[in-house]
Amino acid sequence: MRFITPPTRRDMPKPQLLKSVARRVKMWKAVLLLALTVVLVFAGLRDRENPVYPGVQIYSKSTGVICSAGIPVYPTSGGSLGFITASHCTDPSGAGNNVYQPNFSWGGDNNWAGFSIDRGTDNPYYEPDRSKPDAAVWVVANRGVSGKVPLRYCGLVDHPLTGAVDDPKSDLILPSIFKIGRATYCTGTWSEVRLIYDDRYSGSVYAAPISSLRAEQTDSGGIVFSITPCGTTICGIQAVGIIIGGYPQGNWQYVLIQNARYAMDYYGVELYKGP
Amino acid sequence: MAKATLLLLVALSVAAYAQSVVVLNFTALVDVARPDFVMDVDGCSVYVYVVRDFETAKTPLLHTDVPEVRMPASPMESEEILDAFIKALGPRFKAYVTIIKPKGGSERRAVEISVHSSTELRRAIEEALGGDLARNYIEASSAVIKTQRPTAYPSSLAIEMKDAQVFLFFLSGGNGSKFFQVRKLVIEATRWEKTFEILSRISEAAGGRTPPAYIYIVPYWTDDEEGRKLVRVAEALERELGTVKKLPNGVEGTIHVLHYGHVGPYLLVFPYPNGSAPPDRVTAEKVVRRFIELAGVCRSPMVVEFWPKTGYEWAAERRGYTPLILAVAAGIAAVATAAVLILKRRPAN
Repeated sequence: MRFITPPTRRDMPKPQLLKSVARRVKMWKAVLLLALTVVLVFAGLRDRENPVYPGVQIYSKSTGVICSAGIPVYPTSGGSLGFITASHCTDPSGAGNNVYQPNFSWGGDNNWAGFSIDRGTDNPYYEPDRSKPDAAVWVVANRGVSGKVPLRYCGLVDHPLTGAVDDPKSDLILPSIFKIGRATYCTGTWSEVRLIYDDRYSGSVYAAPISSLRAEQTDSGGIVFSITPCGTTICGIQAVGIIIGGYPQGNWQYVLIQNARYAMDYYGVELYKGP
Repeated sequence: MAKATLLLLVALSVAAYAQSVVVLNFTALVDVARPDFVMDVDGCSVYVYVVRDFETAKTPLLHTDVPEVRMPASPMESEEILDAFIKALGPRFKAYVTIIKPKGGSERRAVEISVHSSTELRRAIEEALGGDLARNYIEASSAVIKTQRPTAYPSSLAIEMKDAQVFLFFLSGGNGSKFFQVRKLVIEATRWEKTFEILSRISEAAGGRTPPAYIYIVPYWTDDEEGRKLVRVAEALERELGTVKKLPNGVEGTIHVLHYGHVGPYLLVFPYPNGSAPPDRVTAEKVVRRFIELAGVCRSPMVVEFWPKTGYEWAAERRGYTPLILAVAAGIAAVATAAVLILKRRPAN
């Protein structure tokens, strides 16, 4: 009986061996290139970052929820820098309300990145206290904070926030709208967008058509902003709010945004416009 | 040479495509996706779609684009479009301005003006506003930072007719690190003929050149008050149907009232009224009639879609790390086993 076995490297004549090596090198190059591409595309927002900045991935251990960081803020009464993010992304205030970035890890410092102050609601539709926003403050510890919005994900240069749009509690027209979150990175439009005020939700919530502002699961808490161009540079970036959800379920036509100004006033914090 | 010619042709066709008249027919939306049935409620047509499967359903909201036709337009400078617009449709316009505030935020205001050319525009708006006007968004935002005073800039010119609305938007665009100013001409009307009559007038004023434009054929225009009223009606009907359920990550069973900006048709998304079974025609009709009865109004055409799932949900994801750790461990074990098997199969030399 004769067994057919695949040829080993020694069985091959020399030129074939060379070809095989060349093929393998090419394949490894391709694999490396692919890996590098994957790393570059997904680098940053989903990695451990120091300093942390708007849009980075955060994780709350006891709720087990993956989200994104929102608007950089500081308490007007003094204290540590942090970010407004969604209340449903963090644990309620109290013991164990830790925030990890990008996620909990068993080794080292566990990726611990501070804690949350959460007096908001996890369900703004059902919330009986209509003043409660789906917003919380992530007080950053163990890391530095950058107030710069990572506009590199939008093909621009990183820039700090310069202000926050109003909370008119009626439809809001913005000259442009963008968001940065760990799921879909930078999405948005330079065209004028009408945000629809939706009083079916507590706090102050506006809806944007998904065609203008794409968002997906794990973009919750991510920063929503409007850019003010100034010649060939950026003159201003206005915080609009944070992503909290979308509707209808499973096939979003609209993305829900908790207004930034309302959330900041609720928690007594102000925009961090630093580097 | 042939290659260069080909490239030039490609470049020209790309340029021609970018400079287009884009016709979006919102009225035809209901014809593109075949409804399960059409109801007639006192002369008002309600197109009813019962969605059984999100993946395969074809309704105005699912897997259907607004019917679009593109036609070539002449490349025109922003100021040329503005001049032709004023010349063709003036002198009376409604000018919308945006006022940027130093502490952040902005306000929109409308003023009535009368102008005969683009050179008169700035002064006319300033007179109507009773204050200075920046040339554009870029100039206004720089001025706010410098002066720390609210500054206005023109955001659009509009003319509202009985059966048409025409807008010229003054937009700032961005492409990578470069910013630019663009004019977006939007002609909305309930009839094709009307939109093309308006476009012809603007073309004539532009010396026979057709400006790039968006043409919307719309069944009707929506308004904020009416939209809010329909939402209240939706809430009342949800209570009657008892479909709303609290979820750990949102809410299920609500009725959604949607529309395309300020143009119709209204698109209503209903949950299945009887749990998980799609409604039969009798039940669906009953629900739709009750909605219209509560609203006291039916805009024709109106789209109603019954979806297996409605409501809002978080944009967050619960992710326990235990399964991930187990998956990684299983992966490592599989790779190790494969490596041992491969090594065993190698002939010993």
